[in-house]
Amino acid sequence: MSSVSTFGTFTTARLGIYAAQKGLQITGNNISNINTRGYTRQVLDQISLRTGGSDRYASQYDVKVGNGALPVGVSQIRDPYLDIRYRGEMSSVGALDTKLNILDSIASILDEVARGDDEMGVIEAQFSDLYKALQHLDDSTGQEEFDTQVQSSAKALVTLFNTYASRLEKEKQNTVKRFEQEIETVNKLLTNIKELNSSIRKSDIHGDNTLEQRDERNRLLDELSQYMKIDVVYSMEDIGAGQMVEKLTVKLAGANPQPDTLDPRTDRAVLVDGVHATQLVLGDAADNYSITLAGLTDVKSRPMDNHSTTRTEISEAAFNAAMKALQDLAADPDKPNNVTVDAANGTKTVDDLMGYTYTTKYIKQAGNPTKFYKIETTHAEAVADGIKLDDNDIRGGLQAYREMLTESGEFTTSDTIANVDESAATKRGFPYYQKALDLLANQFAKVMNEANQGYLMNENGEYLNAKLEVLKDASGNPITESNVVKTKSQLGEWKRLLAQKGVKDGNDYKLDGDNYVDENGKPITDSAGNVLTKSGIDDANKQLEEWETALKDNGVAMGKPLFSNNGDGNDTEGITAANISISKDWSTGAAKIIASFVQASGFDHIATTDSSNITHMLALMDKKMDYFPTDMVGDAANEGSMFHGSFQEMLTNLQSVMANDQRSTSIQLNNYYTSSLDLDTQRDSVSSVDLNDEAMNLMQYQKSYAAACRLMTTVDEVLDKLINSTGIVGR
Amino acid sequence: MIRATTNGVLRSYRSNLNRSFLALNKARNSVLSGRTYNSYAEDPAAAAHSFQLRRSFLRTSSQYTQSSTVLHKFETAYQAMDRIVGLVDNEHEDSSYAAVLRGANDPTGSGRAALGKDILQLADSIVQATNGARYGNDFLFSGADGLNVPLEWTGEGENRVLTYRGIPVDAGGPVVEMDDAKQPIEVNIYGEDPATKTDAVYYALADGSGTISKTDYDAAAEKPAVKMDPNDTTKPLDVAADAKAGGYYKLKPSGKTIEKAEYDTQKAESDKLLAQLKYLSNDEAKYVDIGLGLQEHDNSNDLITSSAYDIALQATDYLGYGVDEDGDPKNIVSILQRMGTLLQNCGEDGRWENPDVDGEEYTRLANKLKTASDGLHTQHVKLTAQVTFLNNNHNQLKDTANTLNEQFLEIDQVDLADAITSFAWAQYCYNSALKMGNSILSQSLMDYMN
Repeated sequence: MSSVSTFGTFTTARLGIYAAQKGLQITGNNISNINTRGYTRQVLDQISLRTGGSDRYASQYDVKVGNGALPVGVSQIRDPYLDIRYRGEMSSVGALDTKLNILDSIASILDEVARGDDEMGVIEAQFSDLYKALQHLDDSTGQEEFDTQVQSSAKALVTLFNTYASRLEKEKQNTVKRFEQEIETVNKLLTNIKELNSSIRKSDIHGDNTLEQRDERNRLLDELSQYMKIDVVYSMEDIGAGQMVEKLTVKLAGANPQPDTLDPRTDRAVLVDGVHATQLVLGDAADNYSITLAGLTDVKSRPMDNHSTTRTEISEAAFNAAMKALQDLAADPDKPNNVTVDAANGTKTVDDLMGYTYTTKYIKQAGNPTKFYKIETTHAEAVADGIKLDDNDIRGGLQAYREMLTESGEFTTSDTIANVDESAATKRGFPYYQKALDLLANQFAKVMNEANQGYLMNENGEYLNAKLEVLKDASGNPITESNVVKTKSQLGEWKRLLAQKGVKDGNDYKLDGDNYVDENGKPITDSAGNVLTKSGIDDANKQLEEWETALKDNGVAMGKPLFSNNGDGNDTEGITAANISISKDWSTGAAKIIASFVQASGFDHIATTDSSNITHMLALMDKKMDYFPTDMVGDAANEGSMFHGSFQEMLTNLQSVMANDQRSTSIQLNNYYTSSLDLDTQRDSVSSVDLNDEAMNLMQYQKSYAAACRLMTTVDEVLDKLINSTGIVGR
Repeated sequence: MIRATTNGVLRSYRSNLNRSFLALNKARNSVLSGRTYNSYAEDPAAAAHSFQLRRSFLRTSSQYTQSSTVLHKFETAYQAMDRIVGLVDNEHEDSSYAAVLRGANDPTGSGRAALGKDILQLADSIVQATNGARYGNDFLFSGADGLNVPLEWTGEGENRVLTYRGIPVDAGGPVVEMDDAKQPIEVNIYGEDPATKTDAVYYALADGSGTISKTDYDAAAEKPAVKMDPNDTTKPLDVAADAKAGGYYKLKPSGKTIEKAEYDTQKAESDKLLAQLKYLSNDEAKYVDIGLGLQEHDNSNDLITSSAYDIALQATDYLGYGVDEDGDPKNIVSILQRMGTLLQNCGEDGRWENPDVDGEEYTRLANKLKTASDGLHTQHVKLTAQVTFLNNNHNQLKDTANTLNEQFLEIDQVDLADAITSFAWAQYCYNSALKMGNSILSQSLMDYMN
């Protein structure tokens, strides 16, 4: 149409007014929502309206003009890439934040900095107090009140061990409860996302863009990303009749990196599939607090029918090549059993034997021109019992809970490393700190109990029988304390060396003849330069056994355990930080600290103030010794020593490990938090409402509104001239 | 960032304000607690080092207490020993040595019996002084058997024997005459070398001091008194067989004979006792930790003896034990006991009970007393050195404790001037951030629209 209708420009002005009004409305909405969490600023999408098509008789002098502005929609300004990056960072922030919180709670128990009298620590200072009490007993040997003082100090020490252990266990149980609550929160998030998806889908179908609901969904996804690492995918779903709606899929990111060795279904772990979502089910302690994804259900809890089909148009050449390949495969005698081929119908079906069936079908559609399609269908069996996630499938805050509740560092078993988590030995949670404290208590009790039990000997360290005669072994040599201790120590060193350098071979270590060898096949030597031999170790064990039997049968046993696993008894088996107690015999006075095992030749009694054994105990308090995780966990993968030092040094080491973990976690958290903050600010730079912007918009739309009104006035005046003041000459 | 938005700016502001507040809080805590770190995680290396130093400090403190006790014990022992030295040997006129000199130099011997009582009393005083040296419940000179009295008398009167922890201090006898190869010389029952008895007939001297050959007897102008034959009291008894036979040793200092078998039995028994005394003197120890680095040998329960201090004081180390080559006691108290007995047994006229031997024995014992006294002096000087060492060690422990205290406080405690400066700076930053916040919130284009 080459000409303009008389009142056409009024429409242009009206559209301008409408567009400016809409713009003001959106600006107002933006300003109103400036403080709404997760709100994404909206902008008016408007186009220039041009009506009509080609004129039948077009004039080259004709000028075509548009008909004004037309608002066609409202859109959000958002950068999906920033969302992905932000959520990736947030999973790390969530994991580190959770880990740090839990480490802080452990530190509130174990960290002894600035605690105790004169800030000397708590258990740390009590060890020193026990040392002091032993010193007094050493000086005042034979006086019962000083034995009582040692007992009181030891009692305070074991009570502190008990308290620490009980507080650690209580904190662990609190963490389990917090973990359960977090699972609940995640499940609510998944349900909310599912419901929002359902709502958005319905709105999509009805042509409503539901921007506010998308904002809320994004906010929920942000929140979800703190608990686990997620992949968010937006795709278009064909709902039939040529209508496409958006579909949101949320998967666990990076789940199951080793599909060959673990349940491969977990790498397809889907949290949300459009209007369907899963729920997390938390396992118990015996199940390592594993997480299982329940089957996907919709808002009415109906299970999902797991079919998905994609259709791709292909070239004729590709079609022919595919058909040929199908025929070849059908004829191939080595065709795998899980592959079914129907070459005539162009169909291949692959059953991955793990719940998924993939069908590929090639079709030729007659027409002009003829079209060729490849149709791929994936069918997933319904997973009745859900998908149990592998140890490292889930990341983020939830995984941090799991790790802090289950990881035991050096106490990890070989089985766990082989089948659950190959890096488990370097991760330390509650079980590590509990077991390390147990090991310290156990070692302390063991060493002091051993020191307080022995056999009567003469001044040369030769064991005596009841008639005060020197005990001799089968070779006629005196059985001496130094030989027994040396042999025990030697066997301990060999055990440690084998654990460190030996190569496991069943229940033993790899041998070359009689020699134990390292991974390079070289003989292992001890600190004295002797090669470790199987016969040598067997002989030493045999010798020690012979001596111990002789001592048990004929020696004069002295002393009783000082520490037990229960204050009501004298059982020393399985002493831990939680149960370490003063033995009943010691507390009731039936046992005392043995001051000396030495009765010098010719004397009828042990010298009354001889305190050689108390001095030995004092030396033990500062003696550097090995701590073997296998003492607490028999099948621990680390058969060597986890630490070499005194009791107090072991305690300091335990705190150092914790503090360094706290420190590194805190530094990492700070880094990730700063990054996430930067990313959030970047997202704000794109998506957030800015008052300056909106002020500009206000002015802009106000002016354009005024301009459109002016246009209308102008057109009115023009038409007034035309109608009322035109053609009246001479009237 | 290509676009700064109101919310973005606010977010940054909030975050930075929070950081600033955290820094302020940390600086404030630092001033309030006076510590450079308040948790292990804040500075793990410093915390570990501090615990190590604090542990050493507590060890040193308890070693200081222990050292103090040991020092007091040794000072008490020193005072007791000082008194004993005074009793034994000094210029004091009541001392044993002065009494002995009086006994030896008394020209008339009239006061010997009374002097003997004095010397015996002095011997008792030494025993009492030794036993009286106590610290708490412990007898200081009982070695490692501190709950039992060290010295005790067994028997009565002149036969009483001094024992140390139940062992006679004069163990080691009997002493017999030895040849150059330190082997006992075998004699006949009369104490004579059988090899010298070549005559056919011998008579026994009536005083039991030996035999005389028939040839010498017959040749003697004045016949010595000999034992007569019980069957014919007019004839001297022929003891040729006994005189030529061996099987005896000659005891020192009495000169009496002892049957070889009896000697062996007594010697074995006495050697055992002597071995016990030697063990007590040389090997028995009671070690305490006074900050010498208490430690045991690797792969053994044996203490590194230089890492602890032996506080076992044996009375016999000071007063002596055993017998010398003359068969005389080495112990001061035993010597005095013997000398006092010799003097006490003198008659009212001051004559020795056995004039032939007592005077000689008294003189010999007087020399032995001098030797024992010298030994006591040596031990006394050694004890003085020990007390000096303990004193020095005690002072060193005090210095070490002070140094350790300074060291860990240096690690743990803040320099207040530095902390307050940091706090003032943190507060300044925080105030600036607050000021900035006020302007951020007030400014936008909206405020300028008409």
